[in-house]
Order: sequence, then structure tokens, then C-alpha cells
Amino acid sequence: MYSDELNSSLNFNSTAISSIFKHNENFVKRDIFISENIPCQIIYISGIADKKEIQEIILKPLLNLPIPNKDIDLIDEVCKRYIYASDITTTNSIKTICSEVLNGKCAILIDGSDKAILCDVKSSNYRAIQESTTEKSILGSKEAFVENIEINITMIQRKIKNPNLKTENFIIGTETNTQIAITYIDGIIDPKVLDKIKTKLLNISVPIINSSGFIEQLLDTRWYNIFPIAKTTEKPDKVALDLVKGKAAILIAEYPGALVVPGTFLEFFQGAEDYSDKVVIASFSRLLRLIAIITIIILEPIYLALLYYNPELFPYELISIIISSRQNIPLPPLLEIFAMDLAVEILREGGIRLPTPIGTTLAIVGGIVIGESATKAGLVSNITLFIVAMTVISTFLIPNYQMTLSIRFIRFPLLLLAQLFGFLGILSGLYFFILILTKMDNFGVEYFSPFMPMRLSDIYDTIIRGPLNKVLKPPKSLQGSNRTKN
Amino acid sequence: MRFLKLIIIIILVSFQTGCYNKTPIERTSVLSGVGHDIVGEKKLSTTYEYLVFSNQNKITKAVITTTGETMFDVFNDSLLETKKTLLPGTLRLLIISEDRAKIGIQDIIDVFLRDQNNNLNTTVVICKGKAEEILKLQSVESTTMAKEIEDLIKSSYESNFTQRDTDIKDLFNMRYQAGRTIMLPYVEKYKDTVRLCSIAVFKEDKMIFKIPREDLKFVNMLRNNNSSGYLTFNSGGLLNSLSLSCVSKRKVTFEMQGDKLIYNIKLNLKTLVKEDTLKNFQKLDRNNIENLRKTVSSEEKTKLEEIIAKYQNNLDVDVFDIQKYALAKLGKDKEEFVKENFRNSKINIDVDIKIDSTGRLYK
Amino acid sequence: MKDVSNKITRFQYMFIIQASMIGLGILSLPSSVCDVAQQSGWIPTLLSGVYPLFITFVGYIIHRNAKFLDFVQLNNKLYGKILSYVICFVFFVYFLLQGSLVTAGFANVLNFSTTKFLSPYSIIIITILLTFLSTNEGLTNIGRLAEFLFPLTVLLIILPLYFINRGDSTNLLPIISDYKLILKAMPDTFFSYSGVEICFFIFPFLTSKKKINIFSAIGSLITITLYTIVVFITIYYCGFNLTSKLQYPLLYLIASSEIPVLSNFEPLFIFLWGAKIFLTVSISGFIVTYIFSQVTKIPYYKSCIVSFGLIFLLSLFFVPDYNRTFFAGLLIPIMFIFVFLWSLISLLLSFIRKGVSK
Repeated sequence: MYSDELNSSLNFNSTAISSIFKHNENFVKRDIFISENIPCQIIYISGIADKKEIQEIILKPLLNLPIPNKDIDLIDEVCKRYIYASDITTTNSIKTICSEVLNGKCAILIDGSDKAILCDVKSSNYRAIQESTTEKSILGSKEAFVENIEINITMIQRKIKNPNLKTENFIIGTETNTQIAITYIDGIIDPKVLDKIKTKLLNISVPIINSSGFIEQLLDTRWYNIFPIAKTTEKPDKVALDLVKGKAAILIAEYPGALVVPGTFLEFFQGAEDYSDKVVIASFSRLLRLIAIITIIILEPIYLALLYYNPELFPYELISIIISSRQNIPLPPLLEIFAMDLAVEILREGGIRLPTPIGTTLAIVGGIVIGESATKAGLVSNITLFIVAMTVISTFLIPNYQMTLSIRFIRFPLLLLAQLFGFLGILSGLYFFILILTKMDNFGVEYFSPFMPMRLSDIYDTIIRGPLNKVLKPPKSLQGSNRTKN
Repeated sequence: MRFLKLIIIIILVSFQTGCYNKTPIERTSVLSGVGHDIVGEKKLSTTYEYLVFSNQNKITKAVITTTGETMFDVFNDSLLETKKTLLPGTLRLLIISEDRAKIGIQDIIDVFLRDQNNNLNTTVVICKGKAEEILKLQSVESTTMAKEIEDLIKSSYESNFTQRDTDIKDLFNMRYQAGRTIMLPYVEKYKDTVRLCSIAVFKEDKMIFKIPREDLKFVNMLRNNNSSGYLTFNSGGLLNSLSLSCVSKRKVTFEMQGDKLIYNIKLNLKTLVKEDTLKNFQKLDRNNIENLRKTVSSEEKTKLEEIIAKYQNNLDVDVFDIQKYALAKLGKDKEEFVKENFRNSKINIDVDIKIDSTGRLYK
Repeated sequence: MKDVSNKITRFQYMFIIQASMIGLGILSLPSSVCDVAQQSGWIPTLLSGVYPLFITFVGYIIHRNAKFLDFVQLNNKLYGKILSYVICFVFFVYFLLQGSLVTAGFANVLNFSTTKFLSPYSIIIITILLTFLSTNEGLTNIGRLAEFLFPLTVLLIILPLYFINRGDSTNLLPIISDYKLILKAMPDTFFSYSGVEICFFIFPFLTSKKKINIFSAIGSLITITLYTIVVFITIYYCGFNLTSKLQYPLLYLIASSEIPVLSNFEPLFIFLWGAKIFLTVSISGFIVTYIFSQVTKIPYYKSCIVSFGLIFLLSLFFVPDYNRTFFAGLLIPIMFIFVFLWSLISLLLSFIRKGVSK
């Protein structure tokens, strides 16, 4: 049809571009004459480009253009002498013009010239920087990412004043042409890891990118993997911390958050507050979290295995309590636990969709009411209820939402294994779980590092938190694996 | 694909699991006590005491007795009577009647040691009369008699320097360790409940006698290390006595002089004065305490020497648990030799009573 | 196809050496030792620790002289092609037996203690499945697992220490009553350290070869300590007479503990020890797979399926415990002598060949 190149006829160029933006109500063409009746056309999309700015920095100087010398290059002249825009480029590709116009630029076409001027007049009608609602921080910076990707990058740049902080742009989404930016600190991040991230990003081919969750899934080719491979955060200060440790952040246009890659298993259990607390206090809360995780994973399966297969392992005092609590309960233990778990999960899911205060109330009141009535009715024994409640409360200790979902999921297969094979089932389930962690490789970084392979120098920042001067060094674990070398 | 294979294998394996014929926990019953008796000359009888859960939060107990030729003959019959599956792993008490113990308990030891299901922390006692009668008593302080007797035995070490090794694992140790004698607590029916009254002494696996009540304290003191109890010294008449609460430490050394086996038992008693109405020792200052200490030590020593003479010479039984020290020195293969020469060996006793505190009073 | 990676670090090597020896021996060793050496049973256990130290040391020297060649190439160089096949075959059978004996034994012990309700066959299927999954991507994963699971060994050492003040010192005295008995008990204890021979195979995979002897020694010493403590505490608590009567003295010892919530340590022990057994079987399985794929030139992943199939079938055969003990008693000593002779002859040959090549 058309060639991608502009030629020197304004008419031709204008028709070419207009035909691409057919049926687009926001597409504006403004015809003017500059100097000695040279036809000129200004093209932009109203709403994305700022009209006021176009009037101020483009129309005003152009319409007042004095007669230039005919010999000079008009485009160059206009660019260099008349237009007030700070960001200005020239191109001769229609495709670039179209995509840049959609990004909020304004194109100036001048008759007799096979180039177009692109000026940045992006409208800044964005949400102001606000406090994050999902990641509240008690101490530390309050600002959170917004929808504007440039502002987001700026926020990171303000925190890391380092010329080595690099930002690279990609366009992903065959239909949406979404801008994706990847930032990292050159010299700290392992180049091999960075290469892998870039290659994987470039290989993504989907029509639309809406949020970080899309990217995270598309970067991971293993559909069966239940663990999150990258951390999503709304807070630039957390991103800055991770960048300094040698990770990269992926920012998505029109999405108020960043995806920090590569993720390791343990960091999903670490809160950002851990670094602001004292060593002992932070280590204590990490140990508490570890206990909570163990509780979530194995408390119910162990209870089930003991109840079903090895009741003789309960001490005498405990077993009489348990047997007496289970008298006249119609449901077998497995179904009993499943039923309670299901009720709790339903309440939680219901709570998420409701406005925050009502959601919390529903979860708590609903939990109490359902539990109480189930025990009163004799459907569920009160010890089972206690075990399920302990498990559910423990899930609140995991700081990362995606990891909470994964860990909560693990206990269901384990429950089934416990029902089928008793203690051996639990043992093999846990072993299998460790095997998965051993084999998982995340952009060339071992997922379960620094435990697998063991890196003693990084052990300070795992289930305990060592002194800050040891913890804040870029960890060796992020230096790519030997596996890729072989 | 790999995961599909995995799932298929798991499904196949799951057909092999044991969860299909499993008794649910609510249809099990907790076995709390087992009593062994003998009926007539040849018939064994066993009594099972177990918990009955009739309702939530309501626990009662039930007792059944069956007879038969062997232990499992009896158990087999008892299953015909019980309504729920018995869980053997929770057994708290094994009670053996004196008559049963006198014909030997090797079968009981073998069963409890062989069967992996059995708990190793079951308390073992010997009882006067029939074990059945004791288990059939209605417990006052607990749901079952078994638990009540267990509590009785477990708390008894506070007085009379009673032994602490009363579990079935200790019974196995006493049976199989070189140079040891089985000694088990002996209880009797007393009013509506039971009380600890003596110690049953075994030769190999057969009970031979029980220690009389008046000797109990001294035999225990000689046998057990790290035990506690009360000592009272009376110098004539009422309201003229001294009571001490003691913790004893026993140290045994063994030496051979020629053909003579010599055991040295050294008893260190750490005491607190609990009562002092002695006319001679009203004021407990340094000198008086020293005198008092010497007096009571020597008094205690003479008493213990009498006891040693009685059990060593008259009965020829090592109730003091000291032969193992001889074997530790001579080698484990000398067991026969040590046992044969026990009557002729010399046992030295040395008692050292230390008064740590006189309490709140000084005068 | 899966990527196979066999490179391991020195620490991983140390933990593999340490884990390779822990099998059923830890449960039944006190019994067989006390049967002969009576109350001094722990002394032969300690003395036999010379064996793993010797094997790792000799293995290192052989490999150093031969410049860390692959096992098959090493044999080719030292013995020529035909003999090399025979040797590889014997080692193949040896580790096949090790793997299947341990698997069958594990199934029996579980069937005997915590999971009485399961058929041993399903236990074997689960074990084989998990060990297959940990082996199918090469030694690197096993090394990492060994490293990660090492704290379990520490717990295994600590668990018996619970009984440290509950025993009676007279059970251990006199320390030595007869030197002959101790010497007589040594062969039995040697067998409990079998499995350490894997060091012949894994030296070439080490990323760094400095100070390996120290790592070998530490790895062996940890297991020697574990075994000695287990035997020592068992005798200390039960006395040699009872110990020699019991089939699995350590399980008896652990069952006699009294702790809150659980009536004893047994399930906890099975938990810790079970993970170790998975590792031990994986290590044997790796060697079997490795020899198989090297000799037949079949890709590693496929060899892995074949090897674990063989281990699975053999374990089924060994499930009745009398079968297992009979064949273990018959075959392991023969294999053992073979391995010992191989190491000595190879040591000599490696020095000779080294001289020739210079």
C-alpha cells in the first residue's frame, strides 16, 4: 500500500497518516501556513497530547515565523530556531510517527520536506503521588508508584543518584504497544542474569500487557510452577533497596507498580521493615515467620496423620481429650479439615472483594460464627477448629501476598498425602517440595539460594537478619549459577 | 507430561494405602491399665481397664476380665467383649498380682518387649491380692485406677527414698543388665483406694519376697541414688525428737582383696532440719550441729548395717543394686562368680549426714 | 532432554561422603556389635572409622596420579579395556545392591514402626520415585540436597544425647574386657561404613581439588561420630545384653523417650532419618546410573530410568527381611573385599603408570 517512508509531498504524507487513524475521533489535523505560504500540518491526538502546550510552544512560534532564507533546510531551521519544546526529534518513518503520536507527541509535517518533527507535548493528567494502600509502611518513605512510567522512573532515580543506574525501554503487546522499562545498576547486576531477563522480555508476544502479573507469568515458561518468581511492589524505596542488591526492576506504563527480578524463595518472606529494625528484633520476627510457615504447611497434615494412623503417638492425656472431642462427629477427619479450610478460604476470598473495613469484619465475624456454629452443631470437633484457625492466622504473617497464596496451596496436596500415606506422605511431600526448590532456576539464579547451593556469606540475610553492614552488600547468590556455565 | 506420569503413579500407589480398612479414631478406645492374675493352678487371667467415651466431654471407664492359657489367648477372648478397638500404645499401668509374679513374669516381659505397638513408659507395679479387684475400684482422683496408681507411684519418690525406676523400660533394664535384681513397687488395697506399701523383690523373673514395711526406708536408701525422704531420730519419749528432710547421694566402689569381694557404699545425705524438740540440742550453733551430725550419722550407720546383715546373710539377695559395680570392675562374664560369693563378700557402709539449714529458727 | 550437571563444590563433596554411609546401619549396628564385643561395642565402631578415612585417602591418591580421569577411563588406563568392563560391572552390582538393600530395609523399618498400615511395596514406589527425581539431573542436585539436609545429621547426633544422663555408667564398664572380641566385631562395623566407595567416582566432578583430604576426613568423621555416639548411648542406656537382643536398638531407645505432645521421638526420628535415606539411595542410584551410561553410552536420563527400574525390582525381591539379611550377609562381604583389593591394586598401578607416562 504505502511505503513506510515519508516523501516530500505534504498531501501524500497527510493522507497516509490519516488513513491509519481512520475513525479515530481524537485524531486532530491542524493545517497552517508558515512564512511564505508553505503548507504545514500539525498532527496529534487530543487527550494524550496537551492542547495548551501545542498552542504555546508550537503554534505560537510557527505562526510568527519570519521569512527564512530559502536555501536552508526548513526542518532543521524550525527545530533549531522556533519550537520551544525541550524534547524534539525528527523522523522519516510513518510507523514511528504513528506510534509516537499515540504516546502523546505531536508531529509537524512541512510541505517539501521528507521529514517530520516530533515534539513531546504529553498531557500530564495523571494521578498525583499518593501513599500506598496495600503496602503500608510504618517507618520509611510514604510515596508509591503512579500510572505514569516516567514519574515512576524519576522516583527511583531520585533515590539512587548514581550515573550507573540504567534504564532501557521495550515495547511489548502487539495490540497495545505498551512501554516497558527495565532499570538496574550497571556493575552490580550480573550481566548474565540481565541478558536472560532481556531475552525473555523480548520473546514475549501477547496482544496486551495490563499489569505486572502478566509479565511475571510470561517470563516463566513452567506452567506448573506454583511459586512466584518476581516480587511486585508499589514502593520506590523497596525497589531502590533491591536494585542496590543487584536486581533489576521492570516498570510498565500505566501500571502503578514495579516487578523486581530475579526473585529468590526466601525474600518473599522478608518484610522491608526488617531492615529498619534492630538485629535481634528483626531476627526474632523472621523466626516467628518461619514458625508460621512451618505451621501452615505441616500442622494440619500432621494432625491428620496422627488422628488417622498413629493415634498411639498422642500422649495419654491428649488422646482422651481428642477422642472425646471427636465423639459423634459425622465427618471423617480429612473431610472435616477440608470443610473448615474451604469455609475459611471462601471467607477470605469474599473479604477481598468487599471494601476494606467490611472485608476484615466479615472475615473475623464470619470465621467466629461459622466455627462456633459448626462445633455447636457437632459437625466439626473443636480441636480441628483450633488447628485450622492456627493455620489461617499463621498465613497473615507472610508479608508477600503471592507467596501466601502458594504456601496456602501447598498444604492441600500435603493433606491428601498425609491421608494416603500418613507420616511417610508428609515426609515425601516435604522432600518433593525441597526437590522442586532445588531444581528451580530463576533467570540463572538458583531459586532456593543461599541455601541451595549453600553460600555462607549470604546466610546472614535468611531466617535471621544479621548486622546491616553485612546484609546490605550485594549477595553472591544473585551472581548467576554454575549450572549455566556447564 | 512428566507430571501426568507422576499423577498416574500416585493414583496407582494410593490403591495400596492402608486408609481403606482403618478404624476411625472415634471407634477406638484407650487402654489405660492391664492387670495380670492367676486363677487356680494353670489359668491366666487378665483384666483390661479402658476409657469409655459416651458423649463429648464425658469420659468414664470400664473393666473387663477374661481367662485363658496364654496371654494372647486371653487377649483374643477379651476382644469378643470390647465394643471398640483397643489402642495398646497408650497403656499407663501394668499391674501384676503377687501370685502371678511368683510363678514368673517372663512372658509379660517378652510380650511387652517384642510388640512394637507397646509403649515403653508404662508403669509397672505388683499388688497384693487380685489385680482385678484393684482395677475394678472406682477412682476418686482420676478417671481410671490406672492413672491414679501411676500418679501414686510417680509422686512417691518424695518420701521413703523410693525408687524412680518404675517404668517398664526400667523393668527391661533390671532384667537384662548384668548383675541387677528386679525390684518393683508393691501396692495394696487400702479402704476404697490403694496405697504403696512395700517393694517386691525378684530373683530372675520370679518374685521371691517383699520387703517389710519397717525396712523399706533403709533398703531404699541403700539402693537408690538421688532419692529423698524424711529421717526421724527419737531419744526417748514423745516430744523429744529430730526430723530431717534428706536428699541422698549414693556412691559405690568395689575392690577385690585376694578372694574377698569388698563393696564400699558411701551415702551422702543433705538435710534440712524440719523439726527439733530434742532436749540436748536446743541451740543449733556450730558445735552443736557438729555433735548432732556425728550422733545421727552413727545412729543411721548402725541401722543400715543391721539391714545389710539381714538381707545379705539371711536372704542372700542383692537388694542394694551393687553387684553391677562388681561386674563393671571384673567383667561381665563373672556374673555367676559374683552372685555365688555375695554372701561372703564384705559390704562397708559409710554415712555422712550434712545439715544444710536449720530453717527459720535458730534457737 | 534434561540438562545434566555433575559439578560439585568441596563442601558438597564433604556432605555427600558423610551422607553416603548412613543407611540401615544406624538402626541395627548396636545390636550386631554388642553381640560380639559386648559392652565395648562402641570401640570397634570408632576404630573401624579407619575404613572410610583410608578409602577416601587412597581414592584421592589414585585420582591424583591419574589426573582426575573419569572412573571408566581411569580403569581403562590402569587395567585395560576388558578388565575395566569387569570392574565396572562389579561396582555397578555393588551399588545396585546398596541402593536396593537400603530401600527394602527402609520399607521394612517403616512398616515395622510408624507406618504399619502401608504395604512395603508402596513405600518402595514412593522412595524410588523421589530418589529418581533427585538423581535425574545429575550430581549437582544431589550435592545441594546433601548440603541442605546436613543439619538433619546434626539433629540425629543430638537426639541420642537426650539420654545422656538417663543411663548407667556401669553398663559401659569395664571399658575393654577382651581385645579379641573387639577385633572380632570389626568386620561387622566395617560394613556399616560401606557406601563411602562413591568417592572413587566423584573426585573428577569437584570444581576445586585443593585440600580434598581434609574435606574427606571431616565428612567421614561426622559419620564416625554419629555411629559411635549411637552405639555408645545405646549401650549406656540399655546395657549390652538387651541391645544385642533388639532388632533395631536405636528405635527402641528413641521410643523410650517421653516428651510432650508426641508420646515419643519415633516419628520425628523417622522424619529426619527418612530424608537421609532418600539421599543415600539417590547417591547409590547416581553411581549406578553413571556407570551404566558411561559403559553403554546411553544418555544419562534414560540410563537413570533403567537403573532405578533395576533398583526397584531388586528392592521388591529384598522386601522379606530374611531375604535382605541373608543376601546382605552373603554379598556385601565379597563386594567389600573386592573394593578393598581394587583400591590397593589401583593405588599401586596408578603409581606405576604415572612413572611410565613421565
